[in-house]
Amino acid sequence: MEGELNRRGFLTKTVGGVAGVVAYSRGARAGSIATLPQQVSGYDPKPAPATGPLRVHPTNPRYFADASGKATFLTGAHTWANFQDIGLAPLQRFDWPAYIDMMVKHNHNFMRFWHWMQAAYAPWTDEKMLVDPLPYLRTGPGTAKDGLPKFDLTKFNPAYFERMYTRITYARDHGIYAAVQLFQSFSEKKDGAPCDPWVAHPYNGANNINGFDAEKPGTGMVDIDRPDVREVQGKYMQKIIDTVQDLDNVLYEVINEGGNKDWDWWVVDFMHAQEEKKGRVHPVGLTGWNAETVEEMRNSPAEWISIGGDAGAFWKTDPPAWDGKKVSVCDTDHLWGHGGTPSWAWKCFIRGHNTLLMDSWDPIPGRPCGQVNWAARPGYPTRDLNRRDDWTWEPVRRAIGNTRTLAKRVNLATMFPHDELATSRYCLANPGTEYIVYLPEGDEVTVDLTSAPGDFSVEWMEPVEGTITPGGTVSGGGKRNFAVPFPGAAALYLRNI
Amino acid sequence: MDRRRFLAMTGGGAVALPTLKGVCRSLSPALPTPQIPGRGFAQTPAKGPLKVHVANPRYLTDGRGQPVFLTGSHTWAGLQDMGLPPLRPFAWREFLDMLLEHNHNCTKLWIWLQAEGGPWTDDKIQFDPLPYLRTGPSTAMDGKPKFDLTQFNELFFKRLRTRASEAGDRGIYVCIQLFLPGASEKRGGPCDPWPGHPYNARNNINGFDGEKRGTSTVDLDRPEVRATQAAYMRKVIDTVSDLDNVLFEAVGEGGRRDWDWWVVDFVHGYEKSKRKQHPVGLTGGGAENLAEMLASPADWIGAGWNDGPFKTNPPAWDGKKVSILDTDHIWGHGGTASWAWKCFLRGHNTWLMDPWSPLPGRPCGSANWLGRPGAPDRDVNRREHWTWEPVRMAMGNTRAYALRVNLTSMTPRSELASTEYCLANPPWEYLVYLPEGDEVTLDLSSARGSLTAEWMHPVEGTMVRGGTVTGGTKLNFAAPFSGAAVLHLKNVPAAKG
Repeated sequence: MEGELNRRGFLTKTVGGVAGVVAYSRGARAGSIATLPQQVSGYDPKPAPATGPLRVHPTNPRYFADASGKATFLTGAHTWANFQDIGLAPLQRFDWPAYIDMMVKHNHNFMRFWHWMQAAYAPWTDEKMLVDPLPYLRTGPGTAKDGLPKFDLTKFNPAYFERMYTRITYARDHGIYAAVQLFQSFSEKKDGAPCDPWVAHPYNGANNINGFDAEKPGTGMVDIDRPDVREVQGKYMQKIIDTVQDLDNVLYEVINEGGNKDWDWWVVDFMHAQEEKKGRVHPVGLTGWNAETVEEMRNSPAEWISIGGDAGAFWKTDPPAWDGKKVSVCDTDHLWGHGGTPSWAWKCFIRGHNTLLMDSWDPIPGRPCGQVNWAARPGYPTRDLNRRDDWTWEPVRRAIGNTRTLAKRVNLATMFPHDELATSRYCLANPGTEYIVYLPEGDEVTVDLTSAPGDFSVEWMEPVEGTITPGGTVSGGGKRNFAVPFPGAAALYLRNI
Repeated sequence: MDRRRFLAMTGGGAVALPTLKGVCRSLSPALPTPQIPGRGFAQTPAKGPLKVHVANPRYLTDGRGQPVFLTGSHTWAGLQDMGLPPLRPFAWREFLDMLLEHNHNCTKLWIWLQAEGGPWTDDKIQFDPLPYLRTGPSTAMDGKPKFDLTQFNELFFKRLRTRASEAGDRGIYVCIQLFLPGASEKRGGPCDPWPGHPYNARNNINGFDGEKRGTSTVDLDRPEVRATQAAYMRKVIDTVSDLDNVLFEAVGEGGRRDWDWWVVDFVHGYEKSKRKQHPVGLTGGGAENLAEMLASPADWIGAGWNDGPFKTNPPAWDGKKVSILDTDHIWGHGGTASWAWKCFLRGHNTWLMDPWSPLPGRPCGSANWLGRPGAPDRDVNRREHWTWEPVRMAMGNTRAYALRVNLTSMTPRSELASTEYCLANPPWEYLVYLPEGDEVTLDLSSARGSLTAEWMHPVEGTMVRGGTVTGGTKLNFAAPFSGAAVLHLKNVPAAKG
């Protein structure tokens, strides 16, 4: 995005001088969105437990296959506090059951399971944001820079790993897969970011009793090229594997928007190697806005990747049809930071991607010490996306749930992006058998059914509300122009009878 | 009228009609009572006659310097009453009120030459009044007295003048359709109105047979036909030539290039002897293509459905001719709010083919206002269908901005906005459309100083102030409400001293 720091779509520098608010009327349609029911119509109140470990589907590698071999579309909302409690003192306990309930009611089945390594602070705030629990025990002797006992990097914190296991098990039992974030670049100082959490990082030489100083001198960042650092990180990863390796619903994410190619691939290889020793290998992923290019991620040993906004703004508005070289999980976190639209969710789904919404379900804490992309923007000086009830979110939560409703109805193993078959250029199809077409602006679409003899049932879905409107039947064998029976964007589902 | 679209066959067709009771209605957005910002502008009598604006030839001008952006609804019965007997008079005043309430400033007056029948129906729909007197002796094919082509029906021409005048008094321009070869004759449609046409030899006392043998169409090459048509055109022109608010549509959807151009030249030539000369136009979807219309002597043109992506992505207009795009020539029955905005920002004027008064008669073929694949119970041939009000409102909202900006200097500048819909006068003023809302990056590199930002909901017309921004770079703007949005930026004059 023009005007942003290369802070992984998370922080923005001051742009254009937002100079004042003049009689602002909040969101013209906010009222109507706020009244949307906080669920989708197609959700299963008691979803079956998630099965796995997931494997890349052998015939449609855009998706993972569950334990039964069925292609599984992954989508869901994730939020920064869904594992560790974060916030200003006194820390509030994150309401995990309510969050899972929201996901279930929205037909979601996937989250990123966030990890923070620092005890306090963050790059976006100079307030003392606290994190609890942490992976390492704070035994002392001596006090760290935050005034609490120093860490012992040889002793893991049972509370941290117990919560990890408990929550992921709970998610599994509610049909939800969890990508465990192994490392977090926002636990360190970010280039250009005004605030610095390194002071509270356990690998800071002043904060542990082990004499271990992992800092790349003067950067406030972990020197990930040093063998001794990797050794410490390896032990931490091994502990995570030991904790959740038996769970079917686990995926791993190397790092949230950080690392470098050599280190990223080392982490992926490490996880693969250690898990192979245990006989159960879970998918490992790389996410965008890090040091790797799209092509590097596609050539990596990872099973899944998330493209970052640095790959092009078109990932927000016109995500390309995916070839399945890796499983793609498009995540609004790496594209907007705070942002996303229902149309994006549908476009990604139709183009062969899985999706994740970076959801302000639990706001990111702390008073921003710089211009952040969830606050004021040109033309929108009172913008505040950092709350779950902002009008932005519920339509996206619902849209991604609705995409999953259709994903479960089709034979996803045979569905590939076929832009050329629809004038709207959004068509996921197994030609001759079934088609899902998205119309970003509604009205009408021409679908090429030339190679599809026979009759097709026609069904429309309102992309946000999820309302189904039957559309009769149509004969194949030619190009057919379909008129949408309601205003606005629409999804069309054709199935051979 | 676009006959080919108008009578579009549905091909494979919808063969099953499941119950859709209430579904469409439940999905219709609850639009508020129209509140068009431009309603505040006084409806003063239309000035003219309109001429092509010298500085910005995308628009016409009333001679007072500023371009006049034309937009409005038109309906088939705007001049002549039409329908199954007993004919009900069209509520003309009510129609004018609707135009004013929606901030429209232009309509069309359709002229039907046939006494009964239409190419879309074998019902004996009737038209009244007609241009020629029915004096007899003897009866025409419809059982009524034959026409005398040497005597014009003053009742018809009085209504033509009265309605044009009444519209003008309310600030509304009227486009008088001189010929409708696609709707008054048999041209591709399944049914045949030729038995009701006054140029049918069996229908007039003058021994005049205007038919191209065996085609049920007028033979446009014969001198005696053109002489008869010229007399009719002279009468139309004599009736309204002193009015300021008149435009002529020489031929709705074209007869043939040579004849079309003859009609245009004739009107131009005859009006040279008059005190006022009015713009003459040609419209697409018929025999002439866009390039031919651009090369014609017409003052304005309206591209047709076969001229390119005018439904979804109308090209930026260079002003070689004034462009007035009409949903009639693009959809037939159809149109979207997004289309209205896209056309406006790409330098076109707009018309909506509005079934304010439905097209009468039971269709004798599959008509494009009826069932379509995916919408088998579709019936857009009524004013209250959910399709229409958003388009009417959107057009009025475009005019509101057309009146607010300095249209003389505004040209399509697609390259300045990431959405590619931008009408601008850099560095002073920018009007941007976001078809899917969310955000847009706007190149304000050439803009110095501050600009006020303002948002409009494209259908509801709700205004949201957006503070001020500083130019000189590319800026990313976030829309303050969901869905499509319009952004207006205007330079803030520097304070004196």
